[in-house]
Amino acid sequence: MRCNCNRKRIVCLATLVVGGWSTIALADPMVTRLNPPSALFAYGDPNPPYISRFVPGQRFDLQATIQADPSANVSSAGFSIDGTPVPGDVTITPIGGDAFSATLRAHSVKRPGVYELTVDSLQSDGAMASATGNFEIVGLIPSPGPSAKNIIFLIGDGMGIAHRTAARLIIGNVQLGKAEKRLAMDTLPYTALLNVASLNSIVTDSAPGAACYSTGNKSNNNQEGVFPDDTPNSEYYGKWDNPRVEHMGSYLARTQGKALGIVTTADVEDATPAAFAVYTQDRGAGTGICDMYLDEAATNHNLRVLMGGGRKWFIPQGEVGSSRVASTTSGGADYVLPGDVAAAWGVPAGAVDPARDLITDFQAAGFYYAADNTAMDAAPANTKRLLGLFASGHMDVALDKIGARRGGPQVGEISAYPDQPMLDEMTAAALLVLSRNDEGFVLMVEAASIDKQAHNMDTERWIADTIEFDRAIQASLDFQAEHPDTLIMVTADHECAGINIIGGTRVDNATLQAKATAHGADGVPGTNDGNLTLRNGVVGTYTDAGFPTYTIAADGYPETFDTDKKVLIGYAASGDRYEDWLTNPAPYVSPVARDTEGDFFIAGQAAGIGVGSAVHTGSDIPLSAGGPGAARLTGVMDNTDVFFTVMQAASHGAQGH
Amino acid sequence: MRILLECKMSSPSLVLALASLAFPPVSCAAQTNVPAPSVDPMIGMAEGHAPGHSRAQDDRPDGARATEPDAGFLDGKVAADYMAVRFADLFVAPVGPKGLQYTTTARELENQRVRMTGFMVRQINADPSVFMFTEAPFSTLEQEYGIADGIPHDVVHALLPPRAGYGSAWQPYAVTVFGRLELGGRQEADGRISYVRILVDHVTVGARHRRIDLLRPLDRRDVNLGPHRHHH
Repeated sequence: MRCNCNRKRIVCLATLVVGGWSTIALADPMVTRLNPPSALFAYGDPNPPYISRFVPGQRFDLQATIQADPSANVSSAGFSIDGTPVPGDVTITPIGGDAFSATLRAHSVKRPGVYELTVDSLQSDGAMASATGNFEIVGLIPSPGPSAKNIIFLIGDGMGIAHRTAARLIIGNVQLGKAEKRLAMDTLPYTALLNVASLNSIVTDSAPGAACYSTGNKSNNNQEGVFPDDTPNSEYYGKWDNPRVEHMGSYLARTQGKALGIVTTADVEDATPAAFAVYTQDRGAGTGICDMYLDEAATNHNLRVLMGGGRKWFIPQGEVGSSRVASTTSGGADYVLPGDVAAAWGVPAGAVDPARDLITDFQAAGFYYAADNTAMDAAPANTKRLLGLFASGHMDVALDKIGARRGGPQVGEISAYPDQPMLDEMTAAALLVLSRNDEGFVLMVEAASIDKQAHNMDTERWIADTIEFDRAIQASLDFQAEHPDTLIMVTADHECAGINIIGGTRVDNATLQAKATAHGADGVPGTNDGNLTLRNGVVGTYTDAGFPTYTIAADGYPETFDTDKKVLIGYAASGDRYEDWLTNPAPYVSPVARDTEGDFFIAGQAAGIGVGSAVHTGSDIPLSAGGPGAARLTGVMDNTDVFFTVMQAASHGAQGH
Repeated sequence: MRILLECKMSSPSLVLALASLAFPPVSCAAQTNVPAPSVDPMIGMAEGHAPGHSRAQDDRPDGARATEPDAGFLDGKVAADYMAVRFADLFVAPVGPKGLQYTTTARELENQRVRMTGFMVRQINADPSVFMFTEAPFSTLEQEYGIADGIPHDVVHALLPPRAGYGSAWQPYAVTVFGRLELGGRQEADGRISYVRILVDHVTVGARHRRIDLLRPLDRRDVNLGPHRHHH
């Protein structure tokens, strides 16, 4: 049970004398959780930084978990803010183990300031428990600065500083110390460093890493749009009843009529896209997440563009290729909301409907459906709603899409889905559709596989995905040139794999290829002496790194990554791997099952049972910004600060101009 | 070593030559992601490939010590009872605008004895006696991704006869799975829906079908542990 320095205990003494016996009952209920989370509740610390912050009018749920005495009930609970009872229904839900969850849904506060939140609960025998926390309403100040009519978040999942540098070294032609060509993301004038810790760890995952931008708040790892609660996953609503924090898309749709667009190269149910539109404690609940995109986001957040992979969630169960499940608790779960959430947030309660034809339902809601790049390009000129589902799961990565377009082998899923768009093509299509909304839009574009390929320590694939991402940024800059009231932010959710630039090759490609099949210095497979042939004399550090040489083809990508002078990348948060510095022919091969002919085994620092790859790191990440509001996106910031700057620029005029 | 792939043609008669992996056999005692360095010579080799010939079918070099219980070789007559099926035979490709479609070949082979050569997916198996199996090596990490992944649409679920206290241990080399082909959607323990399953009779390695046992004691397997933990 967590220590709660603020709980009040009223001990109720009952004495019963029956036939000479006396019984004394000691009542001791306790509040064990209070949402929104605060240091005041957790540690008794009332001072800033305030963990939970909202803009005026942004909706959020109040929630408390109360541990009652054995066999007792919590009969009622109430919330008050600065001593004033909060109006509205409080729902008490038993959650097992004598615990109860009290919720008051969709509250909002208009006046800026720091507020104390108190919950008071009454047990069936009269014992009471209460607790206090706090939260802040961050004021939006009318400002003469320009407004951000359009807001574009470009998120390179897992993209840290070195991922950006590596891409520049490949396509920027760095010679005599200077890059001849900058990345598109280099041209944005404002730079910040973001602190990325989640609500429950210094190392986050993509769910809190994106939800911070969309809600202005921290979340637990795995959770998007919600605070943690205690209703168990095994219960019907467990994944879906968490206390919600209203998304930016919903708020700006309500208050300004903005539209929302979500574009990713991942399965659209994945954490980063979902963190901009859905509310769940389980980032893997694909059936429910995709249903919620239509049921809530399209209705309440004015979601008008949704593109990526993940078609398998949109196909009715019973048809081959569907991943839809008839469960609210399993992997890939569907959603059903408790009545108080549906009523207070004005959203459908949902249903367990695995046979739902979600593509047809999107079409019925006015979405044009594109199954491939050709169809996306063929969207009619007046298209205002666009659904693109280009693969069953994640889309293929840039290296392989480009390879296939150049007439090379079709690896990954390309032979099944041969006409997948590039991220810059998807971005341009999304901007065209969203710009038809007179009130502007919020667009999130994710280069999802920088992270996925960094996890797999597949150097050339995450670099190529970073190059693809930069091309999507260029498409956004081109749009901004025509629409200067557009705020562009390029950032990440966290860094992945502890990647850094360690040097350059000291041998040419032919030599490297020979070494990669030589089985190490002794020529005997399996002796793991490849460090003598593939590290010593190959990894050029300091001055021996020199300047790499790559030739860029007309399509914007290197003709080959395997040049006579390559950039060499190290991995600090590595899993076990074999390394031969050469491009892997196929994606997703385990790092211990490829490149083995070189016998150069590198033990991973993060490796261990169940860890088959590199992992996220906790370092700060850069953010680059340009446009109205960008001038405040500087310095070292918490990742949640970004939300408030954007909201200021979107609704009351940018500050700092 | 690199895995060398043949160009995939867009016609249905796909031929994919996979080079075997030069890789030390997994030691049962290993508790890390990779076998201890001082182990036996590899299974199979990979110098190059020739069209139509899979190096994955080659035997181990002579003198290699078996690290799996060596059940000898599968009788040729028994093997011949199983129809060789390629991954390309399962679904119509390219995929249409919505879901997948079994090929007529797949439909005709439903409930028949088949054999398929491919690679065990490196994953966390929610059900210890079920593993996924793909044409080209693939790895995913449910701790990180859940079941949002890029796993190929033509993944096959191999269902081993369950053995209490044992579970399948990932092997990096190509294996041939012999069993009965089952089609249709079925929810697996991790929430995935499988569409192609093989109810496994035998698993072999190499062209001569040396039999191997993929099951290991549950507490001594590599990365393929029990019910997946979602704790990232």
